[in-house]
Amino acid sequence: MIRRFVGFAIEAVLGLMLGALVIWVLAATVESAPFVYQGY
Amino acid sequence: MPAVFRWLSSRFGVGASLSSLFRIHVWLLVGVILISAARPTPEHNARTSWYNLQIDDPLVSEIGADINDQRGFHPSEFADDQFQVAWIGGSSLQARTEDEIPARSFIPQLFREWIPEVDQREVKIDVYLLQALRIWDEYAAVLEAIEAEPDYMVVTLNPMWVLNDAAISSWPNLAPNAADALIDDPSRWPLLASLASPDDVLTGILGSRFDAVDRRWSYANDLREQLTDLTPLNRSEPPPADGEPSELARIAGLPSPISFWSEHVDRPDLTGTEIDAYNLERANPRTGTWNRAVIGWMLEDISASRIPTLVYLAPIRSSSLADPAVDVALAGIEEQLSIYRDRVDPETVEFSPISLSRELPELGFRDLIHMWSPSADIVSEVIVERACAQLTNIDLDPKCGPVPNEGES
Repeated sequence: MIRRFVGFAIEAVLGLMLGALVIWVLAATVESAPFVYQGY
Repeated sequence: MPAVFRWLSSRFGVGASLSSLFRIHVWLLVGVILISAARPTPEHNARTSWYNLQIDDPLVSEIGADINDQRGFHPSEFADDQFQVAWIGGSSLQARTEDEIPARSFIPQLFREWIPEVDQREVKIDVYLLQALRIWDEYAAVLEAIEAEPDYMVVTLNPMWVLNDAAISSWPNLAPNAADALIDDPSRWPLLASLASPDDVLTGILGSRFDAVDRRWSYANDLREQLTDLTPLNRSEPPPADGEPSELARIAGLPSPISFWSEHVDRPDLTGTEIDAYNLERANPRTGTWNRAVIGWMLEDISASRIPTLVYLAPIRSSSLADPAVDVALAGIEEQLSIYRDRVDPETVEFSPISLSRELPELGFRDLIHMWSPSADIVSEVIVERACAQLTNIDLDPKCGPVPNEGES
């Protein structure tokens, strides 16, 4: 029983870490390209 | 690592069943939501932009965001007792002098001086102003504006880009929100498949549901600030260049491939207004292109929104229009646009596919599209006349007076 609850807790930690990883990846892949004016 | 997962799986059942995988994904979503709530991003405020410092009227705001920010525009904010105007356009909304962009050079600002109130509500204008706005960008901006539910919209079409299939988009950051707005309509999927990347579609849909995804540009700025000290790059200032760079070094320093090719356009040896005629002729392929589909959908979506809207074709340089070849080329664009008259709801949309140049006196322009500063007053007067007539026709009560501070430079 205890092992099962420990499993739930590990799942939660793993999921939260994955959520943070998703946001990290999305933020880290934002470009910082300058606007290049191409006329008119 | 796999050994750790095998141990977690065998000892604690983590990831060993579908239900466990489901729970991990639920926690992932909880994490995304918690981080959205717990980690506020810097204020997304348009008032500090360079344009707004020039506009100098707190009731006229330029709301274009950074080109890397998938939100595309800053939030359009109005008070209940204001008459909300959304103005979508590019650089043709802005005049300048030889050296600077002086005060009172933005057509929306001049428009507000002429029409300060409608139905006894003060007019507040949010300008969806993006330089070099192409037709796909303009459609994305219109979709964004419609979502803000303004009382009135003005859409400025640029004759150089409206039909030009050689340049459909120059603001890729607008694609995610447009993708989210268009995904429900299968008839728009071919357009999305052509102009939006899978990343745009995914982040657009997720961004409308999760702030943490929508604000990724702000998070990225935060991250950059924190990581700057850790970068292994040598960030010291380079020594000053020793003399003029070689031609090869100059080309290597150009910001993008298009900069090189725009210096080497394969066109006949032309001078003066011949160049304008050539460019306008090339801007009108007269065949089915995405531009045509986008224009039709944009006008249909504006009509379906039931938001009163003025759509007009921006003026071009008078001295160029005096050249018959330019006149014919512009007339070709007007003729193609006129086909779309039956796509608009005449009750709410005033669609003017004939260039404003046709009814303006001779005006000073610094190139084919961009006007010198004094011309903006005259152009805005014509737009104001049309807007006042339209607003009056739909039983609104615009206060269409003379400019109170007329004569101020």
